[in-house]
Amino acid sequence: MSQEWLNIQSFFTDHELIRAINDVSIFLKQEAAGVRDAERARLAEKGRETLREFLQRLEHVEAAGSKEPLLGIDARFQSLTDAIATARGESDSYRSVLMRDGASAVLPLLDAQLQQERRQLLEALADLRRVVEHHQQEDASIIFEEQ
Amino acid sequence: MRAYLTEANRDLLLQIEVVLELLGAASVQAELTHYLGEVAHLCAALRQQAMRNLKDLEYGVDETIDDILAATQSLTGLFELVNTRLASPIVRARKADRLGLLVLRWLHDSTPKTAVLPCGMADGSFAIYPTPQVPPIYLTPVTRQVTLLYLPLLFHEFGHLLYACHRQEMDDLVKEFQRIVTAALAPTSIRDQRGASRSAVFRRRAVTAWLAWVQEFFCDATGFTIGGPSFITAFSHYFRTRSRDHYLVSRDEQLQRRHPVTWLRAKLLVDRARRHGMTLLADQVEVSWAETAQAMGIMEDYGGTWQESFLSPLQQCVDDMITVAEPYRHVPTDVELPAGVERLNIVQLCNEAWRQFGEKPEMFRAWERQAIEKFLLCN
Repeated sequence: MSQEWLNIQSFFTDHELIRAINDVSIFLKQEAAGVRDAERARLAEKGRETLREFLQRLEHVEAAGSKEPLLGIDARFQSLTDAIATARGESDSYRSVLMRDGASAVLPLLDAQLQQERRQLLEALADLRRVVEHHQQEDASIIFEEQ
Repeated sequence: MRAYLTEANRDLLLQIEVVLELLGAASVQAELTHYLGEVAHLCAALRQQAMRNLKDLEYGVDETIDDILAATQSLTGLFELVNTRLASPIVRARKADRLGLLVLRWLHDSTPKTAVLPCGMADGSFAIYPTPQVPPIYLTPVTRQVTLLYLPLLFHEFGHLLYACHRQEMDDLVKEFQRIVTAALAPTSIRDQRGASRSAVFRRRAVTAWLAWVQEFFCDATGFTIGGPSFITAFSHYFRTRSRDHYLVSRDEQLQRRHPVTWLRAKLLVDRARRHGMTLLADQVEVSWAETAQAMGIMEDYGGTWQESFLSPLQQCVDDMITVAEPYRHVPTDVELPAGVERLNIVQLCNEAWRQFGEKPEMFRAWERQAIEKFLLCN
């Protein structure tokens, strides 16, 4: 009957998302540098699926607007989507296509082959990771009682 | 930076090896071996991730440094969770854990989806970590692990695991109830823009809060379904005289919590007990909470998050969730022991414990010691 388990669940969810971002990002950069690694390719494919699922959920939330009640969305996920919405308002710090145009603009980039589109995807993933890492840190502070 | 990251990942590998050594050296009850295996498996996955980071560093692609830094930080956080939470039930394992572990194993074995899951037990306030990524850990206060009266509160925690095992169906049922809340909290008239905006924000937060709250009501109903009177009595005794905020919580505070106000939970349990014909028990619990509230000068007020019209659809929603999850349902012989019964199951034991505690409180501890000893011998 403690609040902590929700933070632990949220910590894991964020961890999965950060791992997916890292796996896709590292794969694209290594490939661009001429490195071929079969395990990396497998991890990137799995990462794309995780990101697709997340971005589709985010797209749904963004379409609903900030005041409409969202059904089936827990408080920690809502706080993550709120953090992304706040970041989208800070155009000096966050300049990627995710922050400019929202999740729907990033979804098609997940399978991009053109270098320019891949660069856009990498920028979007870097911005997303910054927000998710900050969100995960909130959970970590509660779980590990860091002040 | 590359050197720092290499060092950090090598240190992680070392720490993971130490945890694996501790797990290997631990002497645990048979009921905990499955859990031990799962934690060791998770450690192996962490080790693989650290080795993956080292391999990526060896490729020497400078552009990936920020990604590998993020991967290292993320891995460090996850390892910290293993080190501070998941390994604890194994490393701290003691002989006296067996009673709690037997209860948990019995609970897990009672439904097909949970029978395959391991479980561990650690010290702490009653809680569970039912994440899909790690084996469930049940937290239990030290004295409650080795005594009988509050073991039924573990039935509530088991409800969280059932919810996680049936998440999609459960979330769909809760969404139906959220629609009712959304409609009920819709403004009937809009007089000014600021008021309408505040009302919309409250409605959005309340609807979100109800997702977690319905899960808590479901877990209470699971506890009652499994344990019958022993659960409602344990729940009531555990919370009733604890503190004011189990009765009255400001609206803003409520919306930040994942638990509904405890008095409201007690009321729903009372309603459930009445519907199951336990009128006397329901009346006793209801009166005891009302009298305690009165003694503290507290009037019932949920700040607009609760309406009486929610009661019937909420109980229906929870009934449907129980049908999906199919926890063990207590039977009359779990409450009224048949004459001459020698070997009690855990539900009988908990109900009998409350009866003994109510009738002969001064003799209770002696009776409890014998009852536990007998239970452990029989299982």
